[in-house]
Amino acid sequence: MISHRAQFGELYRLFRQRFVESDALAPNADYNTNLWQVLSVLAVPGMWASMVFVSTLLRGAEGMWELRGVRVFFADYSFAVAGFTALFEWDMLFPERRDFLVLTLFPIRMRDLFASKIAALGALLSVLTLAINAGAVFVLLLVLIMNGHSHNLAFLETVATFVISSAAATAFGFLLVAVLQGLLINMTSVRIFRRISPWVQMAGMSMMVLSFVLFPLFVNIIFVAALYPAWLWWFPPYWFTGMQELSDGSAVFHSLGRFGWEMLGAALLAFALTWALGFARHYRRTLEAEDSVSRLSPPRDRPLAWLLRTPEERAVFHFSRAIVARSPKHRLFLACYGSAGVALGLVLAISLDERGLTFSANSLRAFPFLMTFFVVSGFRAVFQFPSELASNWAFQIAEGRWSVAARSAARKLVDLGGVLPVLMAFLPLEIFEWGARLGLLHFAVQAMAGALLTELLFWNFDKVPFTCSYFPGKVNLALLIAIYLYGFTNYSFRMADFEVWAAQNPLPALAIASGAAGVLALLWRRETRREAVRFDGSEPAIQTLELS
Amino acid sequence: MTRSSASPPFTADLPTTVFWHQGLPPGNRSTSAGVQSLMLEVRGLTKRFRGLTAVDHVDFVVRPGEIAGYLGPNGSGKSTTVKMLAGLLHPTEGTILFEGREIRQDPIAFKQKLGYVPEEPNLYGYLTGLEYLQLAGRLRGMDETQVNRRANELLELLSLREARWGLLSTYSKGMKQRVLIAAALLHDPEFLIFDEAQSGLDIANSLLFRHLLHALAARGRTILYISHILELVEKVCSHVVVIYRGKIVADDSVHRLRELMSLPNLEEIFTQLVHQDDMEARAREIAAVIQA
Repeated sequence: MISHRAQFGELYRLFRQRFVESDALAPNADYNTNLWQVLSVLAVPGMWASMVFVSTLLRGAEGMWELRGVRVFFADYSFAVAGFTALFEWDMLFPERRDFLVLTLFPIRMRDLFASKIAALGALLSVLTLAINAGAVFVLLLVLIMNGHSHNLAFLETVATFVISSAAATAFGFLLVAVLQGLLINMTSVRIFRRISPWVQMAGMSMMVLSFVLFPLFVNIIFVAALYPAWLWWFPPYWFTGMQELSDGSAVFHSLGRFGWEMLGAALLAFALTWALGFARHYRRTLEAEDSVSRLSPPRDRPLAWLLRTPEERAVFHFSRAIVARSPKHRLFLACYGSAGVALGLVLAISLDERGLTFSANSLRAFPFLMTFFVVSGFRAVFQFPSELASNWAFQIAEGRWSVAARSAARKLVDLGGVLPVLMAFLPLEIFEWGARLGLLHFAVQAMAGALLTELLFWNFDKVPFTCSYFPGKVNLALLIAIYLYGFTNYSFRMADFEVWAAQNPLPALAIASGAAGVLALLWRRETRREAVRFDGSEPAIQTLELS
Repeated sequence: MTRSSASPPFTADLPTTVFWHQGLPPGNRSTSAGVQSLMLEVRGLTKRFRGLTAVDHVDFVVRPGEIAGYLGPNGSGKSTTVKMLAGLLHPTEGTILFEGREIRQDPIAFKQKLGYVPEEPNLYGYLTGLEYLQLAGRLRGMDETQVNRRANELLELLSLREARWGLLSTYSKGMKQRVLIAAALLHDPEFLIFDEAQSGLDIANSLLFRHLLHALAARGRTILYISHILELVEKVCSHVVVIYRGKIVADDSVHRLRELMSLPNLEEIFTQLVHQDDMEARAREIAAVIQA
C-alpha cells in the first residue's frame, strides 16, 4: 500500500536535490560544499548594507535620502539575486524531461508530483531569502543587543520592515521568473518552449546582472525622484523601498509600498494560476514531444579555409564554434560576462546627479576596450567548461598536434567570434561620434589591442576547448582576479587615453601601431611546444572555486 | 502458451509476411472466455506524432508466464508501443488492457504491478546505485527494511556490490543497465517490460540476464522482451510479435513462423518480414567508399 505522504516526502527531497545538481556549478563536485559557499557569499552584501543602514538610520531625518539609497541597494540586490537564481535554475523550476521519464514509471499521483515540486520551490526560495538576509539580520541583531535598542519599538519596526521588504523583493524576483516560465509553458508548444528557453534565460540573466551592477545609478534616489519619477514605478526595488515607509513615509513612497505589495500578490496569483493550469499539460506534452532533429544550415567554411591551416586546427575551430553557437549553458555563461561588461561600462560612463544623467566622454571611449576585455576573458573562462566530456575521446584517439592546434584555433575563434563582432557593434557609434576616418582608426586600434589581449590571455592555453573537466584552481583564480583588476582599472582607460594621444600625435602613434602590428604578426606565427594537450583523465580534478 | 488451430491469414500489402495473430480476432476479445487468461491485451493501439503514424492499429496479447518477444527494425514503432504500455505516452487510439482492465482507468494500480527497463538509461547521475534503488522502493511504497535488504541483495547478485556507493554518473552503460534491471525487479512485479535491457551488458551478465528471464517466467511473471539480438529472442521467447513501419507483420511462436515461412531461423524470418536490404552488398559499398 502506497503512503502518499511518504511519497511526497521522497519527491520533495528529490526535487530539492535537483536544484543543486547543476553541472554549471562544478561538475562532480561536492554539492553541499558548493551550496554553502554560494549561500555564504550571498550573505556578505547584507552585512555591509545593514551596517550602512544602521549608521544612516542613527542620523535621523537628515540621512533620509541616504537611508533610502541603502534600502534601494538591498532591495535591488535581493531582487536581482533571486531573479538570477531562478533563471539559473530555469530548467529545474518545472520538472524536466528526465524527471518525467524516471518518475512516470512509478505509481505517483499527479497532485503529489505537483505539490512536492511546489514545496521544493518554496524551500529554495526560503533558503535564498535566509541567505540574502542572514548577514543583515546578524548585524542588526548585534546592534540591537549592543546599543540597547531592543526596547525601542520604532527601531525594531524599522529593522523588521527592512528584512520583510528584502524578503518580499526576493520573492518577487523569484516569482517573476516562475510566472514567465508558467506563461511560456501555457502559451507555447514544448518544442517552441525548449527552443526559446535558452534565449529567455540569457536575456533574463543579462537583465538581472544589469539591474544589480547599475545600482550606483539607482541608489541616487533623491535625483531619481526629482528628475525621473517614472523610474520609481518601473523598477521593482523602488517598490520594496517604499514598503519600508508605509507607516511614516511620504505619499509617493507610501504609494510605492502599497504598489509593491499589490504586485507581489499579483505575482503570487499569476504563479498559482499559470503553474496549476500548465503543470499537467506540460507533463503530458513533454513526454509526447518527439526528440526533434535540428536541421541546421550547413556552415560556410570556405572563407575560413585560408585562416585554418591544418586539419587539426580546423577540427578544433569548428568544434568549438559549434559548441559556442549551440550549447545553451555555454552561451549563458558568455552572456553573463557580456552583460557584466555592459553594466560596468554603463556605470563608468553614466552618472546621475542634480543635472540628470551625464556621460563621461573618456569612459565612453573606454567602453569598447572594456567590452573586448570581458569578451576575451569570457571566452577564456567558458572554454574551461566541458561539453559532453565523455565525447572527448574523439580528440584523444586521433594523433594530432593538439597543443598547437588548440591554442591557435581557440584564439582565432575568440578574435573572429568575440572581439570582431563586439567592435563591429561599436563601429557605427564611433563613426557617428568621431567621423568616418577617426572612427575607423579607433576601430583599428581597438581590434589590434583586442588581438594582443587574446594573445596574452591565451599565451599558455593548452587544451582543446570544452574537452577538459579542469576548472581553474586557486592559483589561477588569484591570477584571474589580478588580471581583472588590471583590466578594469588600467587596460580600458589607458587604451582610451592612447586613442586621444594618438589623435594628437599621429606620427609617433603610427610608429607604435606599426610596432604593435609587427609584434602581433610574430605572435600569430609563434609555435608552441609540441607537448601533449591536456585532456580529462587521471589527473586530479580541481573543480571548486575555493572561495573560502 | 495457447495457440489457435485456424490457418494463418495472409495480407495483400505484406506479400512475403506471415500475419498471424496468436490472440483472438479483433472485436471478439473482450467478451470471450479467452480474455480471462490474458495478462496484457493491446487493441488497435495507434500513435500519431504531428501527422506521422508511428504505431498503426497494433493488436497483440501476452499471456501470464509468457516471454513475448517484440521485434522490429529501428524506427518501426517498438519503443513507442512500449512507452504507451509503460504510461510514458498516451495512445492516439486504441486500448491497453491489463488483466482485463484498461490501464488508463487506474494507472497507479497498473504501475504497481509493472517493472520496466527502458531503452535509454534515464537516471539521476548524482545518486548512487543503492540510493536510486532506495528511491525506487520508497516511491513504490515498499517497507524500508525490505527496500534495503532487496536492494543490497540485488546489487550483490548483479555484481554491483563494490559500486553501490558510486555515483550513477560514473557508471558504465552496462552498470546502469544492471541498476535499472534491479529497480525493475525490486518490487516483484507481475509484468515486466525489458526494452533492450541487455544492451551494454558483458557476456557473463548477458548470460545471467537470459537465465533471469527464464527464472522469472518460471515463477509466473509475464515478460515483454524487446531486443535486436535475434538469437537470444529465439532462445528465450515463447512467442514473438514483429512490427514493421508501425504495423504488426507477424505474431506467433518462433517454431510456427519457421514452419510457415520455411526458413531456418528467426534472423532470416525477420530479414524477410521487414524487407531488409542485401546487407552484404551494402557492406561492400561502405568498404568501397572509404577506399575511394
